[in-house]
Amino acid sequence: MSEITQVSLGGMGQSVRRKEDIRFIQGKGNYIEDIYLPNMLYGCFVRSPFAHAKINGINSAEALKVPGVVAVLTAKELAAHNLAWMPTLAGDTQAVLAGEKAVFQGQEVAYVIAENQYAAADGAEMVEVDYEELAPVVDPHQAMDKNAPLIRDDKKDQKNNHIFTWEAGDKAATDALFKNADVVISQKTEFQRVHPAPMETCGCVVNHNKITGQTDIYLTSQAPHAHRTVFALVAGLAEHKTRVIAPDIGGGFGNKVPVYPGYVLTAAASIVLGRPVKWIETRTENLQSTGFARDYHTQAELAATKDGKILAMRVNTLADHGAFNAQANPTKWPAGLYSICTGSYTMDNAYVKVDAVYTNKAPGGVAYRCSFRVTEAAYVIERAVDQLATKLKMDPAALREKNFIKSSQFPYKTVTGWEYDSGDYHKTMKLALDKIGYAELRKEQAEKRKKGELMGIGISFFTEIVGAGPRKQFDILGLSMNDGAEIRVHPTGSATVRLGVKSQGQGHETTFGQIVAEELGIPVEKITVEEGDTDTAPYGLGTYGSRSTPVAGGATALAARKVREKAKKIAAHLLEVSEQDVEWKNYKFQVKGVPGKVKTMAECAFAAYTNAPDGQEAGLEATFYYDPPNFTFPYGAYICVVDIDNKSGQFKIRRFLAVDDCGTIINPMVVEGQIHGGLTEGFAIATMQEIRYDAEGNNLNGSFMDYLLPTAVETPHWETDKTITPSPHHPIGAKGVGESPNVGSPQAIVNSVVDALSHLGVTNIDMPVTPWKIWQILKEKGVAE
Amino acid sequence: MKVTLKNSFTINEPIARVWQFLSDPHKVAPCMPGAQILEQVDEKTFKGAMKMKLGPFSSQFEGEVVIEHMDGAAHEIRMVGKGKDPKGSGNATMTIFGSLKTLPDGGTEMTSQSDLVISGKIAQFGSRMIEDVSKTMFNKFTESFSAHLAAESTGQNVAHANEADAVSVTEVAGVVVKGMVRRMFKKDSE
Repeated sequence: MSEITQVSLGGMGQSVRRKEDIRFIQGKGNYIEDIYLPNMLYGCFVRSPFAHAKINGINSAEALKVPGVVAVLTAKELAAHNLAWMPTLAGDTQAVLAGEKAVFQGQEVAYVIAENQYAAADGAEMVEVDYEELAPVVDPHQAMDKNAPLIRDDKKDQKNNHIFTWEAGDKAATDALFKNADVVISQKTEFQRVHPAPMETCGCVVNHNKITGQTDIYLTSQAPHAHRTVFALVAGLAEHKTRVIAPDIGGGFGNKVPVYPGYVLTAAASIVLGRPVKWIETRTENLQSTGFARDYHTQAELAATKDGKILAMRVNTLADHGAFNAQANPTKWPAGLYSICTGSYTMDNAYVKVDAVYTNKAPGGVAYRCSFRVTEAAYVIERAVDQLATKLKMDPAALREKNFIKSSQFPYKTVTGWEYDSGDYHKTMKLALDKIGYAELRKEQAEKRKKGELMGIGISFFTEIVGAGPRKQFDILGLSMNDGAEIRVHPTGSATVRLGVKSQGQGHETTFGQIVAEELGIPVEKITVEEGDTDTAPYGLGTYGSRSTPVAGGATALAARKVREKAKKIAAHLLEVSEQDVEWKNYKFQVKGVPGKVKTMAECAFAAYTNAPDGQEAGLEATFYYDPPNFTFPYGAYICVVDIDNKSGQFKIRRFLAVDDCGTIINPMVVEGQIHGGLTEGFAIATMQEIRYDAEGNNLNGSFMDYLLPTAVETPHWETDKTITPSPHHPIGAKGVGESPNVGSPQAIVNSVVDALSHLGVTNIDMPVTPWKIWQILKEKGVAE
Repeated sequence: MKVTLKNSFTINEPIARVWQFLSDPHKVAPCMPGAQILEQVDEKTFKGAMKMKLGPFSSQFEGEVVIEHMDGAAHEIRMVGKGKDPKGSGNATMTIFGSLKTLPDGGTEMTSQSDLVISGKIAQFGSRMIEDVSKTMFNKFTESFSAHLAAESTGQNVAHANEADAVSVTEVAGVVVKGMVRRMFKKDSE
C-alpha cells in the first residue's frame, strides 16, 4: 500500500487550492440575484429623504395605479399584524417601516410589491409621503446635550438620547495610579464611521407555501440558524417549517449579521400573498441604511514611569449607534470585547468606559472584519503608546518591547479580566524589526529630516480576541455562541462535513476539509463541506468575529475524533485484534508494533456499512457541538514605512510588513489571502473611507463615487511573514486570522504618518488620513505653501 | 447641506431704480433660473415653484416665498423661500439677503448673501456638485437681474431666465468640471 502523507491528503499546513474558486472564477456562483423562482414578485422600498421628520400621511393611491404594482405596505398595515417593530440583536426595538416619524435618511417608509423590479421601482416613485422636517441630531456629543431633540420618543421610558454606560476595570485604582505617575499622556481620537460595503448587497428571496405552511428563505446571511430563530421569534414562523438557505455570499464583513427590515417585509409579503418575493438592495441602499461600523470617539490616557513602564490606562469613549441600537454584539457585552484595549502590554490597572447614544443616522455598529469592537480597542492603545513614546523621547519599538507581556507569563490574565492563551511577542516583534531593517530605517529618517524630507515608520503590535465564545458568558439573544459540526463518512470512503458557520468568501469548503483530512486520513478532494442550509446543517451561530476556526474548527476536529474512535473499533474487528492493540499512525490504523498490519479509514468506512462488528451500531458519522473554554488571542507586528511629499502632502506607503501569529495554520495560502484582503481594507479605512453626514443629517457617501474602495492602483505591496504559537486550549491549536490584518493595520499607517510629522509637534491625525489633511498641517507648520 | 454664496456687483442705474426692481418679487423671481411666482398670498407672501437639476436628479420644489425684512431707507431686503419636492426627494430653503449702496459715479452696488440649505436625495448625491451648481445659478441670476433691469429702463423685452428651464445638465457638467479643476489648485478652502 502506498504511503498516506500530509501532502497527499491535503491535510493541515498544505496550501490546497480553494475548491470554491472553480465556480467563482467562472462566474458560476449562486448568489441571491441568481435565484429566480416561478411566479416571483419583487419588493422595493420608499425611503425617507430626511434624517428626522414627522410623517403626517402616506398616499399609496397613485402607486397602486402603476401597471404591475400588487401592493403597498406601510407601518399601518404592519401594525395590524403586530409587525411594525422588530427586536434588534442588541435588545432594542427597530421600526420595520417608519410610522409616526422617520429617524434617519434612507429609513424604510413603505414597501412596494410588484410583478417585476421596474414596476416596483416606478411604484415606489409614486408613493406620496407627507413629511414634516424635525431638527436632526447628527453629532454624538450634541446627542448628549440635555436640550437635544429626543430621537426615540417611541420608547416610553426614553427621556434622552443616551443608550447605555458600560464600564470595565477598576476606576479608583486606575485614578490613583494616574495621580502618582511620572508621565501622563492624553489623546483624543476618532475612529470614523465606516461601512463594510460587501461586493454583494443584502437581499433575500422568500417563498411561502400556503398549503404546506413551509417557508423557504434564501438570505444573505452570515448566521443562517440564528436568523431562522430570530424569524421564528419575530414573525412567529414555525422553526421546523422554516428553512433558511444562505447560498454563496459575496462578502459579509459583519454587514450580513443583523436582521434588516427588508428581510422581514419580504417574508411578510410572501406569507400574505402566497407567492415568492425577491428583494435586493441597491448599492446606495446598502451604504445608507445597513450596518455601519466603528464611530467611536475616544479620550485615551496612559500613565507611565519616566523610564517607560506603563502603569495604567484610562479610556472614555462616546459611541454613536445611530437611530436604533442595532449593533451586533454578544448580548451581555454592549461594548463587545472593547476592554481588550490594554493590548499587548502589562500594566497595573485600567478603566474603560463607553457611553452609547442615539443619533439621526443609520443604525448599526457591526463588527466589520473584527471581533466586536476589537479594532477600535487596538487602534486606541497602539496610537496612545506611540504618543507616550514621543513624550518620553523613546523609540516606539523599544517602548513596546519594554512593556510586552513576556512569553513566560502566558496564560496571562489582564487587568480587565481576559486570559490571553499564548504568545511570544518579543519573538514576533524581533522578526518584524529585523525583516524591515528597522535600525537602518531610523537612520535614513534622521538623515532625511536634516534635508527637510518627510519619512515615517509606524508600528502596530496588536492582540486580537476572537472565537466568541464560552457559553457561560457569551450569547446572542440567549443563544449560546457555540457551533456544531457533523461528519458523515460514506461507505466508499468519501465524506460530507456540515457546519453551522457560513463562509462569505473565507474558503471554508477547503480549509474545513483539510481539518477532516488531517484527522481522518481521507484525502481532501474526497470531502465535501456544506454550509448555509438550516435543513441540513447542524446548529451554529455563524461566521463573524473570526469565530469559524476557533469554534467550528474545534467542533470539526472533535467530531472527526469521535468518528475515528468508532472507526478504531471497526479496525480492531477487521484486524482481528483487541481495540487496545490498535493505534492511529501515519493516517491509518495499525496493530501496535506491526507496521504491515493496517486498515485505512476507507476500509473501516466500508465495513461500517457492510461488516460492522456484532453489537456495534452501523454507520460512521458523528456530530459535535463545541463550547470553547476560552477565546483565542492571535497577534501580530505590523510596520509601515511612508514617504510624504513635503509640498503637496501626497504620501506613498513604501513598505508594509505584516508578521502574524495565528497559531496553527490550516492553509498557508488561504491565510495569506486573508491577510492581503484585510490589510487592503485596513488601508482603505486608514486613508480613504468615511461615512459622513452633513448638519442636516444627509448621508454624503451613498455611492462608490463618494465612498472609496481601493483598487490595485492605490493598494500598496504587502509583505507578510509569520511566527506560529499554537493555542494551548484549541483542539488543533488554531487561533483564527481573517480579521487580524484589519484590526492591526489602520494604526500602523496612521502611526507612520504621525511619525513622519512628529518633529513638527504633530501628535494625532484622525482617519481617513488624506493628502489634504497632511497638506493642511504642513501649511500650518510653515513647511508647505 | 448648506451652501453660502456672497456676491457683489455694480449696476449702472440709480439706487432708487434698482431698489424699485429688487423689492418686487414678481420682477426678481423670473431672474432666478428655474424659479416662478405662482400666486401672491398677501403683501409679503408668495407661492412659488423652482426647478433644479443636478446630475441625474431633477427636482421641482414647490413652496412659499416670504419677505421677512424690507427696509426702503437702508435699501435692504431679506427673502426666505421654502420648498419641498412633492415626490419626497428633498427640501430646500433659500435665504437671500440683498443690500444696495450708491457708488460715487451714481451707479449702484448690490451686495447679496444667499444661503441654500438642502436635504434629501439632492444633498446626498449632489454634495460635490451643489456648490458649483449654486454658483452657476447665482451668476445667471446676476446677469439676468442686470439685463431685466436694463430692459425695463429701455422698454425692451428679454427672455425670462426660467424659460431656459432651470440650469441645464450639460451646462452644469461643464461648470462642475471647471470647478473641480479650479479646486485642485485652490489654496483657501476645501
